[in-house]
Amino acid sequence: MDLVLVGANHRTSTADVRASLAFDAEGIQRTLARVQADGVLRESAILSTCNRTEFYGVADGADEGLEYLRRVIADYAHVDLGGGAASGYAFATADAALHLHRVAAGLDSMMLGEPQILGQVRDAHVAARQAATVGPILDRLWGSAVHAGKRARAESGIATGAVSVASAAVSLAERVFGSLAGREVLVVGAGDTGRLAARHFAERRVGRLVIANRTLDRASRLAEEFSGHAVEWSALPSALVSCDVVISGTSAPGVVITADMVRLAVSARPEKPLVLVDIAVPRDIDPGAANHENVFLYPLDALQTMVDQNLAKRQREVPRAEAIIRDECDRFVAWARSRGATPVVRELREQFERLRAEEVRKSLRHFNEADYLHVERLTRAIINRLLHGPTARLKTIDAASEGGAMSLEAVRHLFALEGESNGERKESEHGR
Amino acid sequence: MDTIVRLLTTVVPMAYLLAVVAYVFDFVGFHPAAARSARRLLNVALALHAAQLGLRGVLYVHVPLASGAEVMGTVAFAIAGVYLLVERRTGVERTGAFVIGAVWILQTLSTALLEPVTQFPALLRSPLFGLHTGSAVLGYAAFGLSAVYGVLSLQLHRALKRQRFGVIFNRLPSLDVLTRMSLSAAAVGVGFLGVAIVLGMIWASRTFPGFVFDPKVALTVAVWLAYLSVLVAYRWLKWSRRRAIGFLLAAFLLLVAAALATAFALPSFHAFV
Repeated sequence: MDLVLVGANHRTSTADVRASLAFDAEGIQRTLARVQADGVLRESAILSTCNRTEFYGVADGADEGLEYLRRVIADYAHVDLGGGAASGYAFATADAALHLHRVAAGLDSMMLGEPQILGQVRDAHVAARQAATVGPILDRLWGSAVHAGKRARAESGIATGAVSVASAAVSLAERVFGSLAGREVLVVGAGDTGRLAARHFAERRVGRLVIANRTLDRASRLAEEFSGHAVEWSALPSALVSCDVVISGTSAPGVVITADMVRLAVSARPEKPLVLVDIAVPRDIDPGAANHENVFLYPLDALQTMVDQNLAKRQREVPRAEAIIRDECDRFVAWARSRGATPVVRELREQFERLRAEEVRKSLRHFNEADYLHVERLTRAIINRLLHGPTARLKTIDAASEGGAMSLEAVRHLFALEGESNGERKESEHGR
Repeated sequence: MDTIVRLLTTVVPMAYLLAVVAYVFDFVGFHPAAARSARRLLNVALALHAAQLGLRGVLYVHVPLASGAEVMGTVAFAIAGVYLLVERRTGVERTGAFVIGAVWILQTLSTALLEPVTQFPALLRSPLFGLHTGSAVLGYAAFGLSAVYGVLSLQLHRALKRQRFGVIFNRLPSLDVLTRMSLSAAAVGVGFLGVAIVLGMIWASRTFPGFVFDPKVALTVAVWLAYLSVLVAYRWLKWSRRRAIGFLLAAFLLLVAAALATAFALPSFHAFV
């Protein structure tokens, strides 16, 4: 059985193609049900995010499985992932497994190491389980990929540091205050920039989110969206007194927060630090505001520098994350390969156990009950010891390779393991 | 036993040095396992140090506070122990390079200056004396921790003001945490040193009838008052945290100067052996 994958992402196709390929939750269930009904794949799952759609399956042959998945995609999205704007990718066996591991770790994301993808990979597994289309191989693959994603983030710097201006603003405030829980944040400007900033700070569960805008109505709407409070534009100087963090992103042509306003605010609370983040172009906050020792002012340039440094740092961590991914993926691949030998191992052990039991039974009359139990234990121990080495070696055999298949056949022949395996094979062929 | 004590005395600074190296690796983000290794190495160093102090106490039949070198070693042990507790409670590991670095310097000096104790006056075996010296050691250890966190807090403040997003910015705990740790440690130090001063006065008045003044006592009281004044000003005069930390560091410099003066320049009845 081969693992197969066909998909497209932000690197291989345009946004339009990705939009046609995107699945909602219902679409995933419907498509998985259809795939199951077709009976070509033994297991299947769909990972669909805004930047990628990937179909995973377990097929009896890689070529057959890949061809089938391409057909499903063409039917569903009317997209032929063959080339041009709609080009995608197709992987089989170990390459397909490695791809999902890299995706889960955020190594294949538009923003290197971004955290959302791990949750999306988990969701894809949950959806496939709901559709009852996953079996032992995809279960194990997903478990391994999610574990690898967690390890890569924990053991390398692939996910460290803020990599967007808004998250850099949050990060700077956290370097001063630690947790932002209980802190008061003032967002100046209720446009797109203000909304983005408000969302990032609201996610940190700040104590109080205050929105100030020239138009109170817009401020109120934004405040309502994030359970904050709107204040009149004229109340800006007094709002500065009580807040810990100010993030300003208006489209005003000149300075909105003057050095005098900051000086007055700080003199009313000399013991408290004040973080000012200016993400407006042109600047909203007078650079002179930074002259007070307890005021930390960050213009857009500073935030961009921080983001660039963090991205470079993440990039440097890629080899370490890749090593973790390979380590986990190799384990999965070794397990998947050993599955081919599992029936042979089982039959071999059953055969030995049958022979052992027969021989013990023949000699039963020579032993009393206590001796019989000893003989049982002794003979079982001998069989286990004899089979330990061969079992371990059989599990390392890649049943899909020519050499591996020959080795397994040789074992079957040598120990006369004909019946059950043939029976299973016949049954499986019949099922197909 | 003497050989074992000597061996431990040599080994303890080395053990702290290994922990410092691991903490430095963790601080610069060398490998995630560095933090775990650092904590283990610090545990080992503390165990060796405890054995060294304990065996020395048994060997010379005294509490290991009989000379400047012994006090340094015991203060180093107390700082390392308190740091380990703080690290376990707060999960803040990235200051280990600095705190244990200071411990290593202190312990190295102690090892270099340590001499065998030939005699130890029986009058110093009073339980009150043990409480007095124990409180003083904990007080000095707290002031040492306060100074380390204070310096780190000022470094981070500077990095934040100058928009330098380097290793200090990225790897230290937040400015708020560092400042609170420094101020809290200073408050704990004021408490313990206050107790030490009071117990010392009581013990000295009982043991040395007619005792009125000693330069070391006077300087210790001055240091204690300096720390207390800064904390009062911060709490009630609304000093900024940066100013409070600056003055706490000045008080620590006064403490060091007082210790050097009483050790090398001023006569004191505190020289017991």
